[in-house]
Amino acid sequence: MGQIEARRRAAWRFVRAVVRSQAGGVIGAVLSGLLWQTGAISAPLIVSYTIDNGIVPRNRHTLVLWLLALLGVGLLEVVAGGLRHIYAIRNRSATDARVRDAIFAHALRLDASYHDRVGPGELMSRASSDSEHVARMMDAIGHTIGYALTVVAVSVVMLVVDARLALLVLLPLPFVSVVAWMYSRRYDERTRRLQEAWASAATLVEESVSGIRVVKGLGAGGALSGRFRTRSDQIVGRALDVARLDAVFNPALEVLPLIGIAAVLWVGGRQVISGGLSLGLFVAFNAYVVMLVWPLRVLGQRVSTLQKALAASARITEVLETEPRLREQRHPQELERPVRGEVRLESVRFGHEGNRPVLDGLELELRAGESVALVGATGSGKSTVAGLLARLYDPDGGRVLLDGHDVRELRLAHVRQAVALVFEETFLFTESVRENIRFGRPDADDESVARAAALAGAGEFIAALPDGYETVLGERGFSLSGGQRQRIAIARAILADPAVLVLDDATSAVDATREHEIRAALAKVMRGRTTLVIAHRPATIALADRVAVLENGRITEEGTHSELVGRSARYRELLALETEAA
Amino acid sequence: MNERASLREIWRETRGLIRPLRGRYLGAAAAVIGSTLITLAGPALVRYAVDSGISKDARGPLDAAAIAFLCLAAAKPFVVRAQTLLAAGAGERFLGSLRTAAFDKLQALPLGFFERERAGVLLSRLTSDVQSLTEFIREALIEVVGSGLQIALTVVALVILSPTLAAVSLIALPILIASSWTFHHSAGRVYHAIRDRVAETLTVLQEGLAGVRVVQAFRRERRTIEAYNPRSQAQIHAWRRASFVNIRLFTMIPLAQTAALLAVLLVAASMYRHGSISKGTIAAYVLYLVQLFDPVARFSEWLGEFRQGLAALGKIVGLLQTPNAIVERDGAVELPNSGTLALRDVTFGYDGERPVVHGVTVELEAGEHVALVGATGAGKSTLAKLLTRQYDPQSGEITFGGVDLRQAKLDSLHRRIVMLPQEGHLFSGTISDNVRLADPDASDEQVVHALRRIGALERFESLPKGLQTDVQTRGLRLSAGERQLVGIARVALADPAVIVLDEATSSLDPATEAAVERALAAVAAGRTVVTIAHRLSTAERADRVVVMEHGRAVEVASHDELVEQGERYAKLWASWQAGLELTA
Repeated sequence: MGQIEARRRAAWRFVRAVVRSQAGGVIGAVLSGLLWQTGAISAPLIVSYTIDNGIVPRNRHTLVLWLLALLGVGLLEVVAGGLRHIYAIRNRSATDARVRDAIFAHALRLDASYHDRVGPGELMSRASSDSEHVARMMDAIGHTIGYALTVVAVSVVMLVVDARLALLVLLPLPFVSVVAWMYSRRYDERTRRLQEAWASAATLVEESVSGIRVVKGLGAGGALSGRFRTRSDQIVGRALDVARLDAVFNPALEVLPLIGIAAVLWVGGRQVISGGLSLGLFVAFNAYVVMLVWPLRVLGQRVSTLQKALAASARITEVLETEPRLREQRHPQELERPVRGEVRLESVRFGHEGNRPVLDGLELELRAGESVALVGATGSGKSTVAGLLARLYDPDGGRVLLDGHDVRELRLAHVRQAVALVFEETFLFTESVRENIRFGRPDADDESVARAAALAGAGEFIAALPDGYETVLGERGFSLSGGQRQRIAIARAILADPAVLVLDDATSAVDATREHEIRAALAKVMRGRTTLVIAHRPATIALADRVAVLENGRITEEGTHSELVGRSARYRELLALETEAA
Repeated sequence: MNERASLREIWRETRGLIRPLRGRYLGAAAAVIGSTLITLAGPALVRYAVDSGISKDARGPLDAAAIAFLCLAAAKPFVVRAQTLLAAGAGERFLGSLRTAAFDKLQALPLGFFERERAGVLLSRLTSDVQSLTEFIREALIEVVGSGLQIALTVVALVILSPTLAAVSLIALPILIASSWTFHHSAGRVYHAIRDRVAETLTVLQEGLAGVRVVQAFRRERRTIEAYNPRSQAQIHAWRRASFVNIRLFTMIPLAQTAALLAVLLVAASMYRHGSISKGTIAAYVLYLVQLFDPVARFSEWLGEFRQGLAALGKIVGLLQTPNAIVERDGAVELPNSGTLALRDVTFGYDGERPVVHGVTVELEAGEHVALVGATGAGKSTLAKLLTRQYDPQSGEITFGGVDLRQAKLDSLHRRIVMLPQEGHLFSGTISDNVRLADPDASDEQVVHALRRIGALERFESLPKGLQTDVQTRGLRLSAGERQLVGIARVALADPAVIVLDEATSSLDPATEAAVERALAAVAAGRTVVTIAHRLSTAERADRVVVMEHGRAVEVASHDELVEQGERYAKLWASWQAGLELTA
């Protein structure tokens, strides 16, 4: 319960912040809305004056005067109506963009462990569908405040004209807010569930598009369609749950002014007959009550707009208020240059939430310029070590030192510039080969790009691509083999020219027959550069000066490849050297 | 993908989806009519009370009017409730079936489509586009029927009251027509532009979020945002342009109203001077005229939503209409349970001109294991796609058990011939859900059995929650090898006759590698297997090797025979051996 309260408060805070951020636009929308409203309300009055004072007394002069006034009001409505609309759209699109931008920027700041938990589909749905709900609220805000003020103004006028009759009409209004308040919680709950259903459908779409090769290969389209249908039905069901609340609230709002009219008609009518009320006032009163009908209906609809925006805001703040667990210190230290590339992990402990720690008291040292191969079974935490070095994660305990500084105290950009990481799973962006290689050093010239590509053993196949270095890669782009993709990723890291290079299984998809081609290059790249190599092939491991065996969260053995082959049965087992001999 | 479907195309595609909802829509329309009539009856009752009751000091008619009014007021909430529920029910169900139709279409389209379109665009079709339809669909009926009825009844009243003044009011018509025309002339374009900008923004977002680790590792956060910002701004611009188009319509309505009022009042003044009209008629006429513009204004505001919805609907229908060459023919037959997989003179090129696969003729016995070998671009992957009918050959034919794949029922084709790609992509959900992807109806025992058959059951059962372990999005917590094992388990569950295997090149740690190889061997036993071989050790183990060069099958024989022949394969083999020696 407390958590729900906190979420609601955070949502309100966010909505207020959004409104404040668009203060100018909101004020513009409200003012133009009020002007428009004034025009719309005064037009009938002017018309009746025209008839009473111009047409009926056959007074041409007055007629022309009132007609001019009518024209003026018409033009006011044109201008104010136009402004009102432009402001509404401006508030809407600016809010949509602001929320989306904030989520994207924040997501890029959040650490890898967050992204391990929350996938791109989920974040996308917050940045598009949830932001849209907040934007719709901002679209309506000008109209809504205008209508609310109309209700207040009309109420005041009625109270002034005849307090007793006015109270009769206005008495049910507080009842509306009670109903609104009572059902806002349920609305909140149901809207949130609806938006969750939307997010889960969006995630399925995202996953099935990005995994389309698996889907097509298995002919699993039917299975996915079935799953999607379930989620889509869930959306329908939950949307109808929300509609069922509308079906309570909307009729209540519609009937209130009708009760008011009936009260005026009966009570007021009797007063007129008994002489307590003039016919003119009675007619005016009726007109005023009618003026409440439309604003009240719109206000009723806006309650649901606001609730949707609040539910969406709660989901948005969930992302925005997630503190990156990995933060730069307020006064980070500069990493002195040139970076020596001395790396030390001191009693490092790391675990994904709740599970038992992956790393537990890990000690590992890489001297400047030294290359170390990290060997271990699947799931032993090798990739975690790689992520720790580049400070994609922070350890739960212990320290990671770069050139003697705790990386947490250094400027983050410096750490990531000093350490380049080549991931096991290559991610290429929908950009040219050149841009993909230049990713870490956007100002590199074409020559350096070609050199890095050649070193990574990618020069040849890039030259054979339809547009060479200009060939666009990625989802829509030319599809490369896994090995080719990895070689581009290696070129990317080489071009970044880091002091510390981390190769996380970076040559795994390169054909064994081709690996030797880039092995020479790797040897060259590794020379004089601190390198952590995660690999399985003995030949690649042998490139490293030293081998460290990672098991049960710590380094169990260290030594050169040949030493370990000689003395450690477990090492031989890990590299399957025994079975090969057998 | 058709980017802009016309109104007629939209109607053709959605008609079928609307038909089952006819009853609901009719009911909602009836409720809207009822509620509009109640709204319109109110003023009439008040007028009756004033004219026959109050001004004559008669309580009877006043009471009667008040009671009638109360009855209407009592009925109104029920009508509004029915209207809300029926309209929401019809609207949401329509959106649901549109959504699933779009998803089904996406699943039916061949791989080639996905190689052309960007993920973000497809994503926006099924999420943002459908969602932006919601308001439009739900409000459409209420606004069109409600406002339409109100306008029609008011116009009738106007004509009855004074045909002359009604004719004078027509002065507003040219303004309304002109503004509607200029609005609709540009609205399609600007709203389509919005949908396009949305799709572009989502594309950049999707890529940035999917590649967030690389972005962070290379400190590209700022640049990524800088690349994204113009798209986000472009979306704001597109909206602004739409608002400028909208006001062409919105602002002209009060102008038309003012023009009509001025003209009517001027003519009425002169008619009154000539005594050809009464004061009461003028008042009533003008009151109706003022009232008329309320529904017109609301209707026109709704037109903005309508154009936006239409643009989104057009995009979705464009997706639905994407021509699909890979469809089931009339009179398609089941593929036999097993048989020979034969390629006869198969030629195919993506652009229809340069063949990527050229005159390939190979025959695979049931249960035979064949390795495809060749350089990148030799046509191995394309041949694999032809075997699974992601594309149809331009000439020649592929048959299984004597049946041309093009004549086969798609469902049976998918069951008999399965392709296993390099990477084991995981869907969020449990491991068991992921395996079940191959056969959604499979029981838990069947899933367990499939995992046991490939020898991976223990590995997954030892996880904290066993097979019910959530793999998380994209399976970042399972290692590459484990993901491959899940992929192989899927094939085991699918139980196909032919496996087309894109051999994973990733070198896993030896223990996992051995597990994967055992799993593959288990699943391959007794089935026809075509492997895109990246390692010649795989080719060595195969029954026969097909060497591809520039789209042609240049050598087809067993490993030993080809080595003996001493031609292309023999050279490849020699260099592979040399490479291995370097590796060791």
